[in-house]
Amino acid sequence: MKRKLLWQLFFAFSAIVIISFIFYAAVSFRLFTRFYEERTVSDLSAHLSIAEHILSTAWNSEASAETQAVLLRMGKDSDIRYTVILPNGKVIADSVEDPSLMANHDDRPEIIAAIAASEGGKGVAIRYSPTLKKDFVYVAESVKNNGQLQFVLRVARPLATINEAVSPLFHEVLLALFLIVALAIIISFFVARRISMTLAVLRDGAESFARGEFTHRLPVPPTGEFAQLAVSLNAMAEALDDRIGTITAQKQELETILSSMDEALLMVYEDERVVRINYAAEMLFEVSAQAVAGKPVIGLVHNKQLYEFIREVISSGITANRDVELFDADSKVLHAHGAIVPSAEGSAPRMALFVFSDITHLKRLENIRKEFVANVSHELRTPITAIKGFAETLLDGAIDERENAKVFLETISRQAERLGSIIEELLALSRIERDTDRKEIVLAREELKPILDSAANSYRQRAEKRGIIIEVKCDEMQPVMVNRQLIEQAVGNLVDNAVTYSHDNGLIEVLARREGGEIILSVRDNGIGISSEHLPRLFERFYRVDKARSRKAGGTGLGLSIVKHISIAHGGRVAVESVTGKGSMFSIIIPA
Amino acid sequence: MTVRVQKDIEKLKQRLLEMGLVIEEVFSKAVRCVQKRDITLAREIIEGDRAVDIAEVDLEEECLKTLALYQPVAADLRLIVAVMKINNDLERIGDLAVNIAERILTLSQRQDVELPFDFNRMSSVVRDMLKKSIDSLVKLDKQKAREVLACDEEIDSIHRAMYSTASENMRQSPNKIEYLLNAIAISRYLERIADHITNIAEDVIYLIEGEIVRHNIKEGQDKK
Repeated sequence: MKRKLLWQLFFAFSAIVIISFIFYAAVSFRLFTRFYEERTVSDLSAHLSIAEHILSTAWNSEASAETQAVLLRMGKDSDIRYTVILPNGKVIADSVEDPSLMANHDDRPEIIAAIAASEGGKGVAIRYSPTLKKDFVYVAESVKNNGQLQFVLRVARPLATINEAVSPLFHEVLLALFLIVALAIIISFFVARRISMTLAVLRDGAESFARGEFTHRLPVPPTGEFAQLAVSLNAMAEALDDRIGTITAQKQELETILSSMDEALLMVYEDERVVRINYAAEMLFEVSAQAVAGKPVIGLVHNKQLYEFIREVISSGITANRDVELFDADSKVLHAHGAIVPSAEGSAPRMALFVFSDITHLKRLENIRKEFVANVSHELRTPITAIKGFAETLLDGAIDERENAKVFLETISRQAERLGSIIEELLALSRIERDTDRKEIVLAREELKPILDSAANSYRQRAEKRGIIIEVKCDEMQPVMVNRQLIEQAVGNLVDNAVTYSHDNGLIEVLARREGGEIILSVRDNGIGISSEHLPRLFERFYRVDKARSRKAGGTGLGLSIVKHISIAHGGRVAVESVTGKGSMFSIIIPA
Repeated sequence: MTVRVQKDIEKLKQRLLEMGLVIEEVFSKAVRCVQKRDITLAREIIEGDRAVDIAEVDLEEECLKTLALYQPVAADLRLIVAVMKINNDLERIGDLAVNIAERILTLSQRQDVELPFDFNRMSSVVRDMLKKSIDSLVKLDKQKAREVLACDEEIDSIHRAMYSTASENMRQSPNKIEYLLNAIAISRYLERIADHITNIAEDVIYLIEGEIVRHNIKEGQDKK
């Protein structure tokens, strides 16, 4: 943890204050001392002049005893020490010490200076006195008479005296300074703390921004620079909030688009791991997006062709389209589109994007259409071939053989009729479809029973030839909104089929009942029945369960298709139930 | 060195999964072939088996090479062993699909006869089992593997029930005996495919738990 700013500032301030204090204390001490020394020197000079005056009036270099007495008198009751020194350095009188005991003073600096000084000049020295074993301040002057040096007079004062005078003063100053320093330290502490705390507030604010909380704003501190910092941070928070908001909104948009897409979307890294899949893909592959994220794509697509397609697009880098058949329970067909996504930044791994649309329905329609065209061509070709064949045979000469000619012509006539019925039924079918589309089917209130009877009667004769009984059972009900002709045709077609596929002596029932807002018209037989795999496609045009049988029976393969479209024209639907070997029941269900 | 081993082992697993995809497709084709009595599809399946056989041998050789080269231990060893065993089972399933296709070649001549069992249901369950077993391998999902084992019951019971229906049909329509014999074979092949799939599931469990759960050998027995 870095040294706290608080302490850094505080120590810096305190150091400055204390150093200043020490410096100033030292300087003042020095000044005071110097001041006092100079004062002492001038003081001593004054005493020196007076003493000189006293001594020089009756100077006698021989009368040392008197000089000594004078000095003693002058030095009594004063801390000043007087000394008289002969030019040769001998001390002849001293107010404190016995002169005879004192050493030669010609080496003392103040004496040398005094002797060397010009008129009125003095020698000053502050030094340790070997004699008295104390520090003294010395001022000496040479006394001359008519230019001739008579003696050197020296006055002195102990240094300690000065110190004693200075100390109390100095102590007072020191105390004052110390108080100021203490105050300064305390104040600097608080200032430092204030700065540190302001910074802490800003730091906390910045941290909460970092956590993503952009709702609050930092309070602006009074200090200029901090205020700017706070304002900048707030501005940054606002900008970030904005940008994050935009990004989130875009992400939401993207998510919405991806999840509401009908097509399945798959994104894969170059190394075949899954990046993401959308909701439609989850449904298609029966997995959850979280389960497959980051996993190899081979585990996702349970299909060899799809997997190979994905591999191809990734390795070739070329955008590709392919229709892929899934051999699963539903036999879905997917249209796959794959492309490489150019990577945004150089470092991001390359990805490939795949979109799968379910075209099963389209393919099925396509197949139906293809089959239909093939069937129509075939159905039409057969009678035409027969007609052509027989006609040519007749032209080749068979026309001359009366018996054969008759047979051939009958065949031609039959085939032409068959051709006619096929075309008629096709036209009828397309007319019904067209009229339904154009909403031109005319409905009227009709009694049902007569219609059913009429339909049944059309085939009664044929049925009775094989002992098959047709019964019409119509529930009591109000007249129904129907197109009589079309309903009769539809029910008729059903009865026709029933007769065709019934055993001899079978029973066919034509039923009508009302149930829950719908009218249900049914034709039930106990014939050969239809196996379950054919039921979904039964009503397709030309769909035959058993091609061989129904062609012999003369059907066109369009009957049920017509029934279906008639039902649709009435806003209803068809239904069939059948068990192989037991029989079938076909129903037309229309709104009441 | 370890990274290299991991990569090579991963590649083995990848190839196994690809094999799985192929077999899934082959099986689905076989089912479609039976439903539609589609001869072209049957021929496709029969011809495609050669490639499956080659792929199986290739993968097995790769596994042996890896074992020799790296002498792996513990989980890695179990994985390679599992890959080899599942590889075998997948190839057998492919062969059985071919067998079914061959039956269809015979059966396609008579369109009007129904199989004496609910083929749609049986094939749907087996398809589901196959998908789940490969899924469990990809995700190393024990739960899924156990679900596969549970499904085998139903297949066995459908197969057993088939025999009585078939013999009844044979009594009623003796002219269809040849056809019905082929139909019985189809059921048998489906049942065996289911057995191989359960083997795969058991191998996956072994891979995950390091325990052999085949033949209902319980824990604690026969331990050293």
